[in-house]
Amino acid sequence: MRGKAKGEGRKAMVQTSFARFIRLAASAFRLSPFAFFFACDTNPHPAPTRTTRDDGTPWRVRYSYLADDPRGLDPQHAYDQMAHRIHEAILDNLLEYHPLKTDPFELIPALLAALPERTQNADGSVDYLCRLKPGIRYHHDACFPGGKGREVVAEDVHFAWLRMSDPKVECPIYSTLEPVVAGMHELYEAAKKSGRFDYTARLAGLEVVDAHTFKIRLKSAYPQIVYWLAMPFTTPVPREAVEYYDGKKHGGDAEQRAEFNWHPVGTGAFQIAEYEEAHRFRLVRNPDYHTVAFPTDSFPPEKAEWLKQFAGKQLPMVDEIEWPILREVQTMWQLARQGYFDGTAVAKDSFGRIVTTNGGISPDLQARGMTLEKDTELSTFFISFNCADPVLANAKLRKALACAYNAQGYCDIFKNGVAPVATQLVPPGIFGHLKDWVNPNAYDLDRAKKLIAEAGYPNGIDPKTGQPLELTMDVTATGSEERQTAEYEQRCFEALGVKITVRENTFAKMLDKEEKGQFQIAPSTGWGADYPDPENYFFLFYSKNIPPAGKNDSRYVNPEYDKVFEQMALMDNGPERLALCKRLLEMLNEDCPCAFNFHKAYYVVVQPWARRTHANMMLEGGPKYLQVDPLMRARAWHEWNRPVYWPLALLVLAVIGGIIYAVRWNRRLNA
Amino acid sequence: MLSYLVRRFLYVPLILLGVMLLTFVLSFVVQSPEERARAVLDKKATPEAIRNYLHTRGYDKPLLVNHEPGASWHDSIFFNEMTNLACLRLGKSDITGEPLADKFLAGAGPSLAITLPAALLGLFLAVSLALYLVLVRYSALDRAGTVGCVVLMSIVPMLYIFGGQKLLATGLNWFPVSGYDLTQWSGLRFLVLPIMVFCIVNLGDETRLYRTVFLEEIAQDYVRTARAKGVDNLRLLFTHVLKNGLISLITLVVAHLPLLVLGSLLIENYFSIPGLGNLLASALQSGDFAVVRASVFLGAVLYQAGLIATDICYALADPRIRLGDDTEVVTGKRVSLWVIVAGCGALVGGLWWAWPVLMRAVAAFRASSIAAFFERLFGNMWFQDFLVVAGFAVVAVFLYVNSRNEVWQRALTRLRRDRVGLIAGAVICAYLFVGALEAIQLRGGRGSTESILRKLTAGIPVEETYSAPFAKTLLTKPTALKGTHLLGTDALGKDVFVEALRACRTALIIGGLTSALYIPFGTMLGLAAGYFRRRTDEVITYLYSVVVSVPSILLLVAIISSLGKSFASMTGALAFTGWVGICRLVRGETMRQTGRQYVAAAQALGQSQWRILTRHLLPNVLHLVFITFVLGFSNLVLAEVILSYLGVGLPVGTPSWGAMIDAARSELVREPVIWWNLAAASGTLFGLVLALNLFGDALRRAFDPKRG
Repeated sequence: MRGKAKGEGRKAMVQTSFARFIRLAASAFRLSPFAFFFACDTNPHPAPTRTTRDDGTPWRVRYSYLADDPRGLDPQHAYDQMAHRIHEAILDNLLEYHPLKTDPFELIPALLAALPERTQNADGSVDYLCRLKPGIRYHHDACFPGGKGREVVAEDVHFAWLRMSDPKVECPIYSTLEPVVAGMHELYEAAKKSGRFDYTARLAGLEVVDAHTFKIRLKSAYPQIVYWLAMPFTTPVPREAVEYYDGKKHGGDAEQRAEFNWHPVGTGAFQIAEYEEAHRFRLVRNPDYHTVAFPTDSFPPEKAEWLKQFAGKQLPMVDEIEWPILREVQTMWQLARQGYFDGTAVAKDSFGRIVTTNGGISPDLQARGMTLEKDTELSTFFISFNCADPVLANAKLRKALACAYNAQGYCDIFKNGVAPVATQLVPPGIFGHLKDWVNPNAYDLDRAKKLIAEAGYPNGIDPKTGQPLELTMDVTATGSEERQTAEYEQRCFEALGVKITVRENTFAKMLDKEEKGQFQIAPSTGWGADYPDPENYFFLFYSKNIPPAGKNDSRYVNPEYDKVFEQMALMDNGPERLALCKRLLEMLNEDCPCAFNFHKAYYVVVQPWARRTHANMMLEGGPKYLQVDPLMRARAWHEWNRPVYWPLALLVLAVIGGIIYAVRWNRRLNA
Repeated sequence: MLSYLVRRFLYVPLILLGVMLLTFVLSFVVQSPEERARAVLDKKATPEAIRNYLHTRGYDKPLLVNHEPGASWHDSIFFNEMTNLACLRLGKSDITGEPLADKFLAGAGPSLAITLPAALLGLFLAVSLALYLVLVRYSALDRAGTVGCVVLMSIVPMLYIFGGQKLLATGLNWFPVSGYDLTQWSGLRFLVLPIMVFCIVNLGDETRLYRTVFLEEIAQDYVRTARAKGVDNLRLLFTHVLKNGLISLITLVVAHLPLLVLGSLLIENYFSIPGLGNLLASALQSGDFAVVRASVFLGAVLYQAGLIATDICYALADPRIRLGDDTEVVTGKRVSLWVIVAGCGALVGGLWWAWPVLMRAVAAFRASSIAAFFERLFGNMWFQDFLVVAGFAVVAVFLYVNSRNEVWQRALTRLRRDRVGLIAGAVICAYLFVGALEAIQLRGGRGSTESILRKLTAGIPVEETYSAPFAKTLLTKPTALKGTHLLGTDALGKDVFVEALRACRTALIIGGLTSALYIPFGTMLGLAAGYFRRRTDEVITYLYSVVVSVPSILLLVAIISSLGKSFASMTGALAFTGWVGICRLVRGETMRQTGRQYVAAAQALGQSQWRILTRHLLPNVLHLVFITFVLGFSNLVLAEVILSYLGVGLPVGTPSWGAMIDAARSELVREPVIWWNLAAASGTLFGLVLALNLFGDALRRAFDPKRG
């Protein structure tokens, strides 16, 4: 008003100064501690490290979560899923899985320049010749002179493999590799005897040829070795890093160094920028990354048109990854609904599953552009029968139980029909899985009743006692879902007329019982693939794998099976191998040491700004292939989360009303 | 005062020694380190790996005394643990090997950021509300407010979290659902919601308590004098009553302040706050017993610190109180140190001597049929029912015998006039009736039995899986339902309403069995301590100080997770932590009564001590026992839910509200949301707990009209 009276020029000036004042006041207010209450924002994420890239395009941050802290990050030691998720981002392996080839899976060279060359020696030993890509450097890190990452050399691989043989490192795959890799056993035993591992020793099974070439020597054929090369255990480790990060203080006021277990140094597409325990991870891109680029082939037809734009692109495609650590599925789902996660689940993370009742998504979420995608894990779950048990040694009885078990009902009820019923041991996607195979021991109650009569228990009655046959079922009791599944399984078996007693065990007790064979029925046994090879499944019923040596919990012993298995394990994929796999499966069906249940699968919610480039179950999410549209996301955040303030007024009214009431009452008291 | 403080400080290590012994037994004797190692190593648990694991952590040493030649006798798990804890060396995590001291330091900040403001705000709110209720005392609003407090208390804590996140975070978009960031001011927004939830969970309880404190204060002589002199009601309240009442609040508040550092298990887990509660929750999940052990110890240390602070604050705030040898303050008491030192010494020495024998006996007992018999006995539905019915019968007989007592007669008359109390009593009877319907088993087909409730509801069919209330088809597919379901069906197709009703029996059994265990035990010890005083009192006070020093939820979880899940272990654990409250209460009351003339008269007449205790003292403290029984019952019902939620609930197939609410965890993340299971369970639970609380209140009013 005042500006209008004093002419145009003045008005403009007043307006600008007024605007400046408002802006100043606003920024002062924003800095004040009270601001938070009025400027409450539902965004749970901290501000990213940057807002724009060097070229002016927006900085791309990918928001997801981890269900737990990793238990450690030592590449030769860590075996938990969270550690593998981190490792996939920060380390490169010698080989890795092609992100788009899933049926069958395929290994591609990562740190290696090409797939290893195999040569069979006359004495039965096998050599694998490997060449590292030249010019790949470690992350810049304080452990290197000058803080600049040096080039990866074959000696680093040797050092890593020495670490695998060190008893103190407790490498979980040592017991698998020790029988085949020459020299590992000797080093391990020597270190155990002396109490100290000699890191100047040479491992006979890994010969360094030149700076970039090394040769792996196996004592006997073990074709599965290539899959272990795609895991962090075998990845090169710089000796400097292990020596530098010792968890001690060096010099008076120097900061305490981390332990190597929490500070691995690799060559991966990302580097850990921040890690706060039980709270969050922040990973930032490695600007020098050029180990692998986005694939140019095998695009799935339905996404080919869209994926073409990424072909051959430099990785990683996002600049930063923010992973808060969330333990409650409820909280996670609320945040995903608000759009604060770029997808509910990362593949294989059983924690982040969302169950939709009809395969659809509710209309309000659909309107927001969220879509559902189905992931099927490489896993098979089955109900183990203890073949060494005097009662269950009866194969007919085992078959009767298997036929009485309704796996389809299980999947419908507990997996909402998302998880496919398992008809066989090997899950789909792995060689050895027979398409269109019909499980001869599938649910058929009439047949089950016939079988149990043939087994000597007509109508489930034990002729010796005249009472229903009593069997026990051992389960682990961890949550409400386990209770319900146990009840369901009990109900299925009891349809035969037998009586099933459910015994709940702590996790430790259950493992102990499985190991010692002190159970009759163990319903929640299963196997998630370490690598996509049928050997990794059929070995579950190999007689030399009876616990504690392995995981043949059913204690299935069949010399014929063992013979065929040994033959199959060493073969290359092909029709002959497939025939042997079929033969093995037939033997399992005949003797029925287990009843197949399901393969794990679930829906994940995908946000419109973060379409998935791949869904490879052998990867832990493949962080370097992820993409995101930050602008679209920013708009969605703003639109979806507008605060509603009118209930505040109600609250204020209620308080005022209460005060008035009290004052009037008080007046009456005083009178 | 100085000598008192010195004594007080000397008493602390003794309590801590007791706590250390307790945790040692729980973490090494009940469940062996091997078993735990196997659980932690999971897939990798080869014998070699287990040996390695135990060796690096020193768990492969002998348990108590090292008899190996060449090793010193005290190089055992027991002595190493004890020295470590005594020197406040918290050790390393069993799983990641990180030093726990660092973890605890890092977690204390975030925990305090929630709990400290929440506790202060909660105190402020509760005091203001209590003052407000006192201001409008005996009006309709006051009555409504008191009932409102009880309502707040009767809601399961999880519902506040679900509701808060749903309403304030995703509904109104006021606050973030979860997160934590205190590096900048704007990060404060993360704290608002957890603080609000923390406040409201305790608000009802505290407001009610403080209201009673203020009402007691207002009945004092000085208030009457002031009123007679014409002081305004409002001024009276704020200058006199508030100030004097706050002194008694100190005892209620200060002791618990240090414990705030430990944070809150549920809230930190839900709001992803990287505090100590979160640390503990994940340790429970992953089996990191080193963390559990250290937090139990830390909890005890903090609680003791709180008690000392209380004593000091009390002396500072109230000039009438002198802390000296002849004053007995709320918490501090005269302790002859040597009794307890000798006792502990004897215990340790005796254990050393008797250890091998004891271990062999325990192993033999575990393997024997007697143990199996007990397990089956307590797992037997008939036996559980029998115990509870017997318990109720004993209560009834006592009530009948006491009904001639004057105090009880008067209370009964008053109770008859209390409408709310009567309605609550009727509701409790209804629950008892439903529980009885489920408890009484009839012979069914094929040698099995079926409860009356099941027979009555046999007409309600079992569906395939979930269906919504009154729905016509299943939730998952368009298959028509076989019947109508008032509250829908659960995952296995069972009618949710029927299941919720069936769970009544479970709740009553948990409450009943536990009460049957802890009430007689606590009362007996309390009577003995109060009547005999001296040594007896010292030993009993020591025992309960040890138990009370450990936060009860920690103790419960530790006990149940090491004993395994069953009715027996849950009731046992609840009783183990529960007897303390009643023991304390009875001890105090007995001390008061012992000073009365009728006791002196009985003594003069040469009556036996047994007779004095049972015929004179017991009837006079019985009303306290009864009130505690009713109010404690509601806590037990709630405890079952929280324990189920933490994964240490009841065995499979037991219909229970805790299991239903736990199932809701995954049901709430479905599309569409399955809410009826949660609603049915928390609704029926709420009804029972509310009725118990209101009835307990009515009883208290009837027995002690002053405490209105």
